[in-house]
Amino acid sequence: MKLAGLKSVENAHDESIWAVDWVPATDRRPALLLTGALDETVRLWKPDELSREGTPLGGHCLGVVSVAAHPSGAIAASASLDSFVRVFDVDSGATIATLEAPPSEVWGMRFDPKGNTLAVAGGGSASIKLWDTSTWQLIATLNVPRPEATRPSDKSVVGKFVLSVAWSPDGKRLACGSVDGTVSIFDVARAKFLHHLEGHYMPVRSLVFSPSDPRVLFTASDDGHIHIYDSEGKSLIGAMSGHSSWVLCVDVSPDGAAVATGSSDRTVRLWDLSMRAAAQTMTNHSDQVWGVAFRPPGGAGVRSGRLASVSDDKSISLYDYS
Amino acid sequence: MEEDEVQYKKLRETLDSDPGNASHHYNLGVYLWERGEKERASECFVSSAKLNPNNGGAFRFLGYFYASVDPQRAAKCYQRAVALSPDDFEAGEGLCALLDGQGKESLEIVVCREASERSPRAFWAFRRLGYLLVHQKKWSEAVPSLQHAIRGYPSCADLWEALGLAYQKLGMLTAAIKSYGRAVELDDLKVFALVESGNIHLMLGSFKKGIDHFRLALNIKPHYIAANFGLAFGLLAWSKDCVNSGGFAWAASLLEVAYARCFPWTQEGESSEVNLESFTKSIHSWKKSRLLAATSARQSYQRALHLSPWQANIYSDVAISLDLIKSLEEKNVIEVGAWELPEKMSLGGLMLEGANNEIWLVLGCLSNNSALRQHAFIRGLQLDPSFSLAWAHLGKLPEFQLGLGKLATLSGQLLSPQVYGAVQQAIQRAPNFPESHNLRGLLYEARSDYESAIVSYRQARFAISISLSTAEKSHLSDVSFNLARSLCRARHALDAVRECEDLRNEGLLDSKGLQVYALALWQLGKEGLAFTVSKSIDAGVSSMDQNAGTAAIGLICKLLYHTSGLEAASAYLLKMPEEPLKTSKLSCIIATLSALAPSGQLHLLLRSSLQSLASHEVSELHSLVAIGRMITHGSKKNLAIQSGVFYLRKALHMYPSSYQIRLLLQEPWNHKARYLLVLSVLQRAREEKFPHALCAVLKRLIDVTLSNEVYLMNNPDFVYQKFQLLLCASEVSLHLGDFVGCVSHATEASELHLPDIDFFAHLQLCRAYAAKKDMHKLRNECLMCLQRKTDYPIGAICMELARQSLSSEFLSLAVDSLTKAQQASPAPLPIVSALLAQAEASLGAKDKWEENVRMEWFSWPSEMRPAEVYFQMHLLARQYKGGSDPTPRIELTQSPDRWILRAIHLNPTCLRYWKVLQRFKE
Repeated sequence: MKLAGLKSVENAHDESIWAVDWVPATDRRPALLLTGALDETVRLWKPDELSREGTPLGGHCLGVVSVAAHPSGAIAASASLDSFVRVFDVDSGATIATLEAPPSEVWGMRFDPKGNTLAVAGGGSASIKLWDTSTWQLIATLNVPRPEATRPSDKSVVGKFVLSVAWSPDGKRLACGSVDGTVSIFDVARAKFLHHLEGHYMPVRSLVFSPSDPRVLFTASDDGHIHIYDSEGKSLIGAMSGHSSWVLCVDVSPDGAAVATGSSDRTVRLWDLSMRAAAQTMTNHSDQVWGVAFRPPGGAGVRSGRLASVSDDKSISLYDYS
Repeated sequence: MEEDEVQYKKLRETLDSDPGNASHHYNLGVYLWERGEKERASECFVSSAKLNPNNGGAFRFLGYFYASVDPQRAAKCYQRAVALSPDDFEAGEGLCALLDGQGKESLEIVVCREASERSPRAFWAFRRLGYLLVHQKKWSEAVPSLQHAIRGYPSCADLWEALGLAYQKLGMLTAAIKSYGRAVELDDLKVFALVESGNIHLMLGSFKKGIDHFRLALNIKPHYIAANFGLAFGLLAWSKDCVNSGGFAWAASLLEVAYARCFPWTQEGESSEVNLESFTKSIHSWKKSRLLAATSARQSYQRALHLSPWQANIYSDVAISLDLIKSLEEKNVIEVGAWELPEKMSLGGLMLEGANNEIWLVLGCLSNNSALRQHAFIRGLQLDPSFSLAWAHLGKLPEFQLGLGKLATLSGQLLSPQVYGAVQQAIQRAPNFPESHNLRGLLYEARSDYESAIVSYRQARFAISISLSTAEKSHLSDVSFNLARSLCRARHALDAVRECEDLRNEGLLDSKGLQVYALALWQLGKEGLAFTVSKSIDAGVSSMDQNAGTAAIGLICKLLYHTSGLEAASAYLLKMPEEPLKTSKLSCIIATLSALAPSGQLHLLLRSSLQSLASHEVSELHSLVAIGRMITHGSKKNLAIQSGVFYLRKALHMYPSSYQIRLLLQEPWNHKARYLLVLSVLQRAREEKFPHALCAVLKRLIDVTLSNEVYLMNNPDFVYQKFQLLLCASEVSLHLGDFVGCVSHATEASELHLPDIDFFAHLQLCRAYAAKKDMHKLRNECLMCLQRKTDYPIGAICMELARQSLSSEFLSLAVDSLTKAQQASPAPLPIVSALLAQAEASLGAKDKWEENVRMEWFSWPSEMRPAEVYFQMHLLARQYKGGSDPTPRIELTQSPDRWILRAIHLNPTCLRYWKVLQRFKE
């Protein structure tokens, strides 16, 4: 298992790049790389050569904090600091829907594996909002229960500010990470909170379920550790340490054998899950790495794995994963 | 060289001669040290130190020697030296420098503290300690050390600077300014001191001084960022202060200075000559750089937000930067209904931290929506009532000021100065709002300054015509109506009529406008036109609400009365439906009319409306009705009826005891009530010193009362009452100057033959005759009085009589009765003594005169002695010829001329005193 640098684009955006995702391949085109940045634009890139696909997409008034692609590859969503979620057609760039939320109540986003629902981490509202992808109506709000210790008069929602969200591969479970380090698991079908996963003590900015084992959840936290949880059994299976600063993002390889992380220490690390240890450290970025994303399998003639990373240094890097 | 050698040999010899003496070793060591032979010198010092371990100097030199070779050992040597003589600043400084080099700060403090405790003269230790404590931010501990050190090194600018810093951090700002000032005096290159004292001045609000300091600092170091920042901040704060105090122009000029001065410094680094062209250019590029800075600030804030989205204040920071950019870009795109981005971001902050009043303030400042603004400020104030910034912003909102003005209009407090100030400021800040001018007009109108009001209303109309929105058009009629009204009030009837006609042509003349129109026409003398207008008002009365309707009817009545006379007015009222007439105002009119034109129908109307009115409104009406009654029943005399009505209404309106009036009304046959009413009104009249109007009213009341037939009966009660009434009548007549009436009433009273009290009748007669100056009859009456042999003190009258007729017979009578009166009264009666004194004086009894004058003096309370008493005292004092009487006399406490002066001081109008004074001076 190893990463090999393929290509880097300097100044891919005018400002820090904060979000990255792969748009799955469709019949007509291969998978595309989707990035969002502080310069208020969302851009699409062709893989391997990292050439620009189409013009930068505007429509946001403040920096883009997260992007998410629909499993079909046809549409994608981007969310910015002004709490607007813009849903657009990937190929034409046309806006399909604009979802507005109260300020500070939009953060990470993910489409469910079937593509019926968009889950949005509700930031200050301490909840996950679920939007129907056909009507673009809000269908459910999953609230993170507050700990009993807090008084009802204490209006502060800071502790449960929800930063990140992840779907289990079967679409039955949702996980979200909060600023206080707790991870909450929800039963999607019953729209019910199941339990917390504890262990982190700083914000959990990114989490992802293993594609090979739906119970396994990987979380990245500002405390510098990557945790592996059994999301059903409420237990911490393992922890991996090595980053010298906050771990900002995590993604798992399509084969479920490796995890890639980006960190404030400006490195991208590849972790071997069988060894539970760092397999490789990439130091090509010169500023904190805000996003890593493995390319999903599928598409014509695509065999090799790809990993993309984006950073505050305005650059995008593409690696071959094998 | 030779000499050196000789010296060395000498030292060597002395040492050799007495090798056990430590000082010899030391001296040689010092010599060698100076020659640079440090190695050999150190040997000498070592042996010296061995021989005399109490010689600090040797250890100090050893410390020097080891400092470069073996710091550990050097430290030990220095320590020893300092321990031996804590005042040794060289050793101390050496030790501290050594420790400092090794980073052993706490050890350094211990050494300094020890030395400073052991000797108050170890100033080096105090200085070092002070610096160290300042460095460690232990401000309160640092201050005494620094103060002590300054005693040792009073001209050390650094010490003063450090002391200033410590004071500043402790919040003793004035002390800090003084210390900094001293530092700058000692060393005028102390930029830090200049900048910090500038900051303190800014903090204290004396912007001028602060700015001066920053300028000085910049002259020394033109690129010093803190000073540049401070200067810009100071200018900004100063201009803000000016804005707050209303000096907009001043603030603008200051800001220009700020632009012009800060920009070249921060951008070009040289202060170029500023002419207008380069100035605008510089502002332009300044703006650009500001915009760039703001944009980069926005990016950085967003980065911060991305890192920690749960921090509420970052949201507000983003909001502020967004707003700044917007204002710098000078774009005014207002999307109705949508949240402005800055607003939304500050709301985001609020959602996370709803109890943060500063974010509320930010929201208030950033919002374009005035209601939201106001809400945000008020919310911020709720969270912290002493949050002065929010108060200030709230107070500055023109909308808010206007709202205040409107509230005041509704609650009728237009005269309060706060409202006046607020509206004036609103005009300054929002001259484009017609409402602000309109309100100012209302204010002026409330202050009866109609001319200014007219100007304001006209301005309001201009403002409306400038603003093109249609919503304002409805305002136009209101403003025009206001204008017409104040024109009318200011007696510009012609203009008012013109205004009204304009309004009518536009079809905007509503009922209120019509009223003003009618009034103006009537003022112009166009009665016919006024009449027709009033008819059109009349047509609209039924559709008005109650208050407006009442006013309209009232106006019509008034017009009718003045144009067509009484009959027409009452006829009009009778035509009206009954309901609207049942208000207090209209009932007043009805009552007046019915009083003027006695007619049964109006009475019926009145009665029905009286029944429907609330009790508190009734008393005035009752009084009116009472007059009506009186006029219709009693007085058939040729009095000016209208003025009589006016008088009585006024009198009774003032008169609070409406109980009797009411009683009278409910039982018109109740003569007793009427009698009581007469008595109470008389009492009232007496309190008010018999105003003419009240007397006239009273007189008629008494006439009516007396005409009641019960008084013809011979019941003793009634006789007594009649007696009283007659006396009252006579009294009133006396005050009205109707002496004949007075005498006749009094005579009538005396003819009633009431043995116990007919004295009063005679007394009254006495007064009447006295007033008439009919001496003969007075004399008779007086004798009659005296014959009654009552104890009533009528001495005064006798006195008067005596003076008039120059008869000593009456004088003695007077003295008798006055003495009686004096004895009868439990407290000393003021005037009586004076009269008695006068009488005694006239009778030639000097002693008694003196006694009475003195008594008079004491019978007045000291704060209200009249001038005449002082004058009498003067007389008393003057005639005193220095007897041997040992008892202290009041008149001798001051000299006669003093008494006179005091009398004049009290009553400068009395010529008599002046004459006496003149005589005195001669």
